[in-house]
Amino acid sequence: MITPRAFRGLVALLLAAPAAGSALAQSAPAQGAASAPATPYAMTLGDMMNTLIQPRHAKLGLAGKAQNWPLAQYAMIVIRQSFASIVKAQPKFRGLPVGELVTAALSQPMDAADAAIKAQNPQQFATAYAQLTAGCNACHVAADHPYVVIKTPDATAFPNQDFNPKH
Amino acid sequence: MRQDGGDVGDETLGNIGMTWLRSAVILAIALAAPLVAHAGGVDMTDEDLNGGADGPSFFGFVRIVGGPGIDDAKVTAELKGGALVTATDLLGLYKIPGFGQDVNPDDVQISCAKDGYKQANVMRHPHTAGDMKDPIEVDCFLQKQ
Repeated sequence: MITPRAFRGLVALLLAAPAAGSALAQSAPAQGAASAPATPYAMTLGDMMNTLIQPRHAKLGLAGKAQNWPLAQYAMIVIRQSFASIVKAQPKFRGLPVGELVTAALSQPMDAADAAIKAQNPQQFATAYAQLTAGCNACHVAADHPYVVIKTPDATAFPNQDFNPKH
Repeated sequence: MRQDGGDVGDETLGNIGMTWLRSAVILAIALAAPLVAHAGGVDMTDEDLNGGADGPSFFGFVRIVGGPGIDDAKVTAELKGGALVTATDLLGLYKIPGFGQDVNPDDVQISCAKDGYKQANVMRHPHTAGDMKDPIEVDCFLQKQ
């Protein structure tokens, strides 16, 4: 026979089970981390895009808008270097060749941006930057991430950096 | 009324209670299990979503010979008894799902077309035989007519 006390216990068990599971879920990595040897963290392509590319895309846009051509040129160099590093680190994404995607999406717009910076032409730069941004988004669509939409920055996210040229 | 003071009704209720207890424990474990299983926080974003069940998929670029990709080009994958048609995206990239594990990928012929162009060449990249997971890259080149 199930007594009222036993019934209350069962209800308490039922209510506590999900919470216990949640607590286990939160504590499991900590326990594992304490007992297992540390392993290097492997950055995902998303991690690399967020840390290496997206900030530099923004800085390139801000430098070009401020007509700070040396800084824009530097931004282009580090963007190219970053993509080269990413392709080495992760040659394929979901079976697709990252290098080929980058080349197809960005090669021409990056060359156009370089030419605009060399010409120190703000209109030409704005056009090339828009093409570059469109290339980013075309690549995201190709990689089944159409919801990651990049745009020309409308504000700086770098309050500790002056994007204006030094005269 | 039984001699031990209980009655049949009470015993039945007790059995029902035990059954209910077992059910409650199973339910509790079931509710907790998904939370424990998700403890690792596995991020699937870099994983190949094709588990190989449909055989290798196909992808590739349609390009002008020695030039960039061509968007909105028609790509046809032909197999005995049928064909699948798709189009390239802005980068000139196309993707075609697998035709099934019982289909030999070598039997799938890829071709491309676009108004004002004629097909120049099809380049099939090396693919490990029997690999049902990695997609097969087949690039198609067009030249202006």
